[in-house]
Amino acid sequence: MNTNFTGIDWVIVVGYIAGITFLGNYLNRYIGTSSSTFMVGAGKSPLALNTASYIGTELGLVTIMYAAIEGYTMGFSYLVIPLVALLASFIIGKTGFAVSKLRALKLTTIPEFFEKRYSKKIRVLSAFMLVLAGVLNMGLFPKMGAAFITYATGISALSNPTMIVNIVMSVLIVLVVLYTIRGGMVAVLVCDFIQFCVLSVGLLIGLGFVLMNESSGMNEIVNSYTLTLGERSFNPFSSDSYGTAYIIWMFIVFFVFGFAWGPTVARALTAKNEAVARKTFLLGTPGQFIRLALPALIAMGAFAYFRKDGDLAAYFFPNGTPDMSHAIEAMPLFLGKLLPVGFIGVLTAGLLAAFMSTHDSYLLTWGSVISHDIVVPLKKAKINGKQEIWIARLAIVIIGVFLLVWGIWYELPDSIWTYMAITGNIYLTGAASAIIGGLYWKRSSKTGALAALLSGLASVAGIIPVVSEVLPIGVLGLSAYLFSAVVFIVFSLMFPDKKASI
Amino acid sequence: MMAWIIIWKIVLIVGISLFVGTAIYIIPTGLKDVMKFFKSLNDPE
Repeated sequence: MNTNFTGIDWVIVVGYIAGITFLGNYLNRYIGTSSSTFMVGAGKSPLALNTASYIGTELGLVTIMYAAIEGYTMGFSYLVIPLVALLASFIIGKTGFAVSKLRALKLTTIPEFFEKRYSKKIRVLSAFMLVLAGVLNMGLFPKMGAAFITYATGISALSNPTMIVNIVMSVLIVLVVLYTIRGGMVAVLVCDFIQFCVLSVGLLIGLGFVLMNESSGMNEIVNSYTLTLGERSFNPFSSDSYGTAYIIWMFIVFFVFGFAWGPTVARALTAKNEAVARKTFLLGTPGQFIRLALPALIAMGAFAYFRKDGDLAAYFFPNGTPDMSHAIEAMPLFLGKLLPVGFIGVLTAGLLAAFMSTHDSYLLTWGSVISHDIVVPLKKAKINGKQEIWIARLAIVIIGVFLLVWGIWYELPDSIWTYMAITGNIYLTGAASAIIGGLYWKRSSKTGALAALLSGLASVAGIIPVVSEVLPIGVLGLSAYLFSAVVFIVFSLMFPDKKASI
Repeated sequence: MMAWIIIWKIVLIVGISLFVGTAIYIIPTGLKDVMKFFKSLNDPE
């Protein structure tokens, strides 16, 4: 299907990406031989810069695509998810729960906490599980990015769109690997800030175009969902919508993400002190809402627009009812058709920068964890800062190669959300108990932490079709957190440590 | 259903307004922060 995307837009996109890559490489001059500067920007990031990077890291193209798909298929009910994300970030930001204490420990990575509180073995195990969950989670990012480019730029109308898109995504991944291994966290923070500026302005203007169009304005969106999906598209607690268990699970996921997920908690560790770490989450609260709500609202505008557009209605609404299998195409195609030449180029450049800025943070975090928490603790010979940086760089390149093979050229399963939730849960369920317990419960023990981390593997049960058909995904997700917490408490009480480490 | 429609409209207006306010603070302050950050990286501890 054709869009308004033209040669001018391609020039804007290429120019922007080239500029970001050049800047990231240029910032290598600040790295020196300090692994702390490479991995956490020496823990000197001021509040506004740190907050922009916190929002920028979370505002990835995969999030935008996922939010758009959910908004399109679930309607207004989906807005409960951005709302619980906002609430989770606000609670962490207001209280400094976990993040202030973690920053006070002057950590470089989150697994380092597990050695300070428990033991070196727990650190290495947690690092391994974090990298496993994180890299598998990242596996679907390129595929979602490719879907956006395909439909927003009109490439889908060409003879071999898959090959063209795969080449574009491969080039983007190579560029982001290059500037991440060169500029480390300094490049990540600065590039995230630029991306935050472009994308926050771009998305708000894009939303303005959507809401001001009479076929996709707010009243038209409300009418469309009322007439097609009815009550369930407005009431998230309805049994045929998300339901209470799912919403509670989402709140826990976002809350735990803040202090346990490597790239997110890294923004507490890059902050220049404990107060800035806490305030980063507080100031970032509206960003947590917007990153999930705005793409969904644009997709809901697409739903209303397509319903009344002759040819598109036949494709998206065969027989007058919505065909949700096309949900992934809706938002990018709509933007490509609605936005004027030039502006669609700027917004696409911003969204591709979002793709790059999430990758840079993730690549740097996993590379740093492999180097700092797996190789260094296991190697008997002393490793200096320079060597540690080079090991991290090598790990980043290897992960980049994995992404090229797994994420682009390998066909992933269609159940995207299940895939993301399960891969994240493998690490998060056990880590949540071990981190909270380690910080706030004196009787937490090494054995308890070990058992909790291993219990996270039970989350894999969620991808077994029989299990996920019997129990709703929300109940499964909540059960996994509850199970890990019980395991942690029981094993800590049964096998106490002789003396606490911190 | 009407109550839900009103709730979601309020949530969107408040959420977007808060974000616009945050962005107005972050963009100019962040620019100054970038310079401060570079300076602090050059400063020896």
